[in-house]
Amino acid sequence: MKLPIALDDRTLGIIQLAIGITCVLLAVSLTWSSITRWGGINDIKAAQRAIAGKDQGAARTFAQSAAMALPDQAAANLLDLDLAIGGHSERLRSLLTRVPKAQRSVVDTALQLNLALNGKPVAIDGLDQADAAFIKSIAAMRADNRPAPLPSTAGSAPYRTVVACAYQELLRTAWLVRDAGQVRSAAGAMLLLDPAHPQRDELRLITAALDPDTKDGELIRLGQLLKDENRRTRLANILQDLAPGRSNIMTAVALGADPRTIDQKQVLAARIERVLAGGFSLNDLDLLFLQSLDLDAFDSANKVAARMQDPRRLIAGRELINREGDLAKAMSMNQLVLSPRMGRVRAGDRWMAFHLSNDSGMLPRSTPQILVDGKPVEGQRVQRFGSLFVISGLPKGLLPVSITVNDKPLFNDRVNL
Amino acid sequence: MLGQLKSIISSIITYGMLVAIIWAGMYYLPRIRSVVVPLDYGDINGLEASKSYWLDGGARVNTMKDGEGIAFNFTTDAEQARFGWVAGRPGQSIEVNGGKLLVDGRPAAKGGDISGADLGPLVVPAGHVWLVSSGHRHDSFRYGPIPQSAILGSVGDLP
Repeated sequence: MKLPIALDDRTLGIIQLAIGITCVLLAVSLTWSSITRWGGINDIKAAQRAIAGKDQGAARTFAQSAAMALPDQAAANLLDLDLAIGGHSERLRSLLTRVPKAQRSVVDTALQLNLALNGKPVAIDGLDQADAAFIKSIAAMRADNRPAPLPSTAGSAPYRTVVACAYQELLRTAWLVRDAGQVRSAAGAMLLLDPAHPQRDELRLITAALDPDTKDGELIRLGQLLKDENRRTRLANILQDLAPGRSNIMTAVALGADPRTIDQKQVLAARIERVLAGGFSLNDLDLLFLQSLDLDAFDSANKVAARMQDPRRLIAGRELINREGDLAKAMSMNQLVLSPRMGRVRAGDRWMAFHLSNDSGMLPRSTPQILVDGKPVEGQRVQRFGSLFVISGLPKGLLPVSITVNDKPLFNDRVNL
Repeated sequence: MLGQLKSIISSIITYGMLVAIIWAGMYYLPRIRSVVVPLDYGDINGLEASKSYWLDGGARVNTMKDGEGIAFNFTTDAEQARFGWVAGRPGQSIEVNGGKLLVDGRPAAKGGDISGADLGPLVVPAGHVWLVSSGHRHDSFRYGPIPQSAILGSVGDLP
């Protein structure tokens, strides 16, 4: 065959060399591209395995490596993004323009989810039906800070991340408004979705506490799994609001104790601390006051009474003192009706006697301090018959006598003994 | 002329068969794999340790049947292979109520008895399947919905 133009052997050789070099460069380029792609895909798989194995550090490293190797692939880049971070929406928009058409749907879903989580307007028209419905719910809950039931998907399935974010948002908003039903539902769904969730112990305690069939012993066991005392106490305190019928057991959980062995006064004291520290109603105080009296927990009752309003506070104080029978307390109340009164002092040959009580008929627990001629009377000389005190074996003569109860002087005069 | 036609038809048939064989090989060979039940695995009653099962590697979460036996593995270690029955496919609702697993509100056919508090409901996400076993030590109650990437394939009927 004769060539249309005449080429000498040298020119032909140069052309052949150029073609050869081009082919080699092409081959090298293809090989390098293949190796990069192969490495990127391996990194994606490794990142997925790390996510499944809860190794977040490794997952992030592999995801970053995959995103560098495959900048135009959705899977590689999405693994490297945190959808909760508002600033990542620009990266997602940029990715949306680069990825192949078949991958645009997943990137758009991630973008709209990112916007919803950051309280920005979403455009869900182009999304799959289930993803669109879930993202719409998330956006609504973010905007109102109120829980909204998640839509029925009728066989259509949202992406896993969308599902996870939706239940998390439902739990957050239900927790804020103390909606026990939605809290239980969302926490249970989160446990089903991710049984190895970082807060799985808290989620288990929530679902168990809000399930009326759960035994108290199981709640205690779950509570003891929470090692951080502050977190356990906070959680148990809120669960008392969500499940008022389990108030005592949740208080025991907050204390990290077993209610079968714990002192009920301790449980009540913890509940009172919690109620007094937060918002409370007058009815709460009344209830706690009565519970304190039932348990003879006078210190707790005193704390509650101090936060009551007059005249309820005075009535409660009197009730408390009547139950406690401590005249010293009555004196500190500084009320006439509660103040101790001494009857007329009668005296005879080296003896004297008097009645000591108050208008409520309460008697002092402790022996009054009696000084005769400036010297204290020994305890064995004082005999007590109810409110009557009889002191015998005293020195003879007209001597100064002073009688005090808990440093409150009741009598100070001369007595003819 | 007739001879040439015969020759052409013969060539087309030969090449067609060759293409069919190559296609069949490409389609079926990846599906013809097996999985061995690990020695320490005992999460499905009646499943013998070291027993080998043929795998259909083409099993997809959207087309799996209720109660179908599935092998899965989150690692590359063959000793970590796990097994379960399909209970819920993408879009179905999973719930634990009164100690029973409910799928779309109906009791699951297999592995439905669960202890503990009521949970859910949860929508099984896209690309995932809910697998259950007898003991629930190595099924979705431990791992959550199993992703397609962890599915080794279908083993058909498990005991």
